[in-house]
Amino acid sequence: MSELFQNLSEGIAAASGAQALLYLSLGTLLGILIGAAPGIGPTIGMAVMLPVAVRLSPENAVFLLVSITVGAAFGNSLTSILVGVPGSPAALLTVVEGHPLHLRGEGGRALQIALVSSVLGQLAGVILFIAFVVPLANIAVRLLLPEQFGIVMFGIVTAAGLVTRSPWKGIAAIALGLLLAIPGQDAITGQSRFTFGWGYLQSGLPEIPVIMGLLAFKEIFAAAAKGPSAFEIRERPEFKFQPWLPGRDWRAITIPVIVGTTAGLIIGIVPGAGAMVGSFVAYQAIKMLLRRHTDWGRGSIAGLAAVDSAQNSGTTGELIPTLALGIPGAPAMVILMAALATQGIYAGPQLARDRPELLYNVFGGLLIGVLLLAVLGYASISPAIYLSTVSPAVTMALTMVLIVVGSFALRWQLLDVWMSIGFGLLAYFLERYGYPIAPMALAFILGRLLEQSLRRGLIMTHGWGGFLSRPLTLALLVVALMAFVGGIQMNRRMARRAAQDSALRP
Amino acid sequence: MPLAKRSPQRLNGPPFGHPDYPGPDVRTGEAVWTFILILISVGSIVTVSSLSVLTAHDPLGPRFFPLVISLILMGAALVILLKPILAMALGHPTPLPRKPESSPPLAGVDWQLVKPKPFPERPLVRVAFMGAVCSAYVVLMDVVGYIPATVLGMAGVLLILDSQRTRRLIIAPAASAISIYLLFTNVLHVRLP
Repeated sequence: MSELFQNLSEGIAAASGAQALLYLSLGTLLGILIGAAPGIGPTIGMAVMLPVAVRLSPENAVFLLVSITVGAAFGNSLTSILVGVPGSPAALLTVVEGHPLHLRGEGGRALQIALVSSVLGQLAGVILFIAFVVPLANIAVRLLLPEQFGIVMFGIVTAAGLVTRSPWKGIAAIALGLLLAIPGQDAITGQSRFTFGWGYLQSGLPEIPVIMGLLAFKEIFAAAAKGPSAFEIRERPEFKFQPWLPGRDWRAITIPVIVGTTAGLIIGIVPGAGAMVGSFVAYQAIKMLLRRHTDWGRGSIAGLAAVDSAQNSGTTGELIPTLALGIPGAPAMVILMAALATQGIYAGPQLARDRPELLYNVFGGLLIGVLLLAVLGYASISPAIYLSTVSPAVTMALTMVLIVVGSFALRWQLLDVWMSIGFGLLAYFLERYGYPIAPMALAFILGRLLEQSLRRGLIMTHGWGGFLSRPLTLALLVVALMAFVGGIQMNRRMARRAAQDSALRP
Repeated sequence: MPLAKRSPQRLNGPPFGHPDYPGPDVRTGEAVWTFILILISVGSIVTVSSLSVLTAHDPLGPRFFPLVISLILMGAALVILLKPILAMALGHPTPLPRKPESSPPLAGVDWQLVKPKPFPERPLVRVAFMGAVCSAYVVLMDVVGYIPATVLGMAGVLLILDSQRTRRLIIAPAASAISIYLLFTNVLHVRLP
């Protein structure tokens, strides 16, 4: 324990340097503005900052990218409360509970609750992240190849189950993502596969442009399909700024914040689940706990606090499988892993073994980030509200430009930009017809690792009998299947409840 | 025709998911794209069969994984394609696939009675147009440089997303192109064309 505190204090000292503070502050502020701006989410925000991040030190790259996701969660809440439009699906319930508060003149109070809940959720998330990630990585590094196969399969399959209601489309999306990971030189035999004699594909499809296409460019085409019928907010919302929360509100949000933080963190750890699922679970949990409350769906501060704290603790929870196991906790984490990979650092169990100082610097940065969220969140409420009234058309056009810049500036190849556009079109059409894109992106990133762990694992165990008879491997594969089926059923149930909750809104 | 009285939240047209929202036949599109996935899997199986056979030290070889994945993709796509047909043949028609919603429908929100004419009018044509604009932007970036290409690219995107406001087609792109160029080259030290 004393070693942990010593390492942690060194990490905090490293994260307190001028450069680290600059990137933490920049990322938090950018994240808040990105979350408040219509049409842009944290994934796109991280994608456009990627060409900057790959040129920084690994610690500063992590600080910049992670603080964008943290800030964006709060930025989402601003527009959800004051404008009534969720910046992302995760903020839907913030609209349900926060916007009615604004409509009855309590917008300032709702914003303060959102800020306090976000900061407390983030703080709890960071503390648990620090407590869990190193022990988890130390366990994972001892796992052998068959168990590694089981963990990766668990991550991919669970992610698919949690975001789709059609099992066959989920399976097809995973299979397509794994197929996209195959082009290039086979790691074991050195044979070229699916390169068709093209030198560009010799080292495989470029990860970052493909991910930017699948996750970010797709939104551009989706916006085009919606056309001018997309929402256009004309008036800046009026609200009375409330500088602090009264004591009775602090007491009222204590239990919801605890419930929301716990739910958000546990769900956030599950790969692919992310903040959206965490906020829904937290909302249902607090409703069950506080059954006597009658203002659900009409401006419940308990509901608002639970949802916002779950969102923020969930974004930190996503970091745990990403850094400890090398399995992205959410699509945005794929970009973080890609940024580290360009610097020769691979997220996963080996990170704690080979670069422990990086992990502890990240711990320190996240702790300082909590303070920055409190200060910058407070200060950026007004500019963020102004930005939320900018036309989505302008923000989308800007996003397109930034994504193209991001794809091009990595390797200075126009072909990378064509890849982004092509995969963006593919992702748009597939998502239009119900195929989930996030698991496809995860499968693409993890496909090579999955294949290598399977083939090398079979070499190690001398065949399938030895491979599948390993208890942990078998257990992980069975749990993966159960998580897939259970995730689809939970997804269908939550969609039904979300429709019911939306209908309750004034 | 005068505009309807505005409420605090105003839309330019029927939101996505509204019954009046124009949309193509979703089932046809789903079938087309599922068939494309089947073609991809068939192509993959044909390509992978040319790889070398198993070696003693590597029981699976480089062929096994792509082959299995392609078969799984083909199987899943066939189920998706044939399920509605089988259901109709058995007298149990399946509901239409759900349209993807990127934002929830807003209850009780007033929207303008006058619908602005989008350019182009059909959604899929707009998507194709957007693809053309993005492609042209990439080509122009190499030919005329970053700032002129960005001005034209943003203007093209704004024309598709918000055809009503012609002022935006000039002011916003020009300001953004110059700001982004200065930010990335001078502040963030990222080279641009």
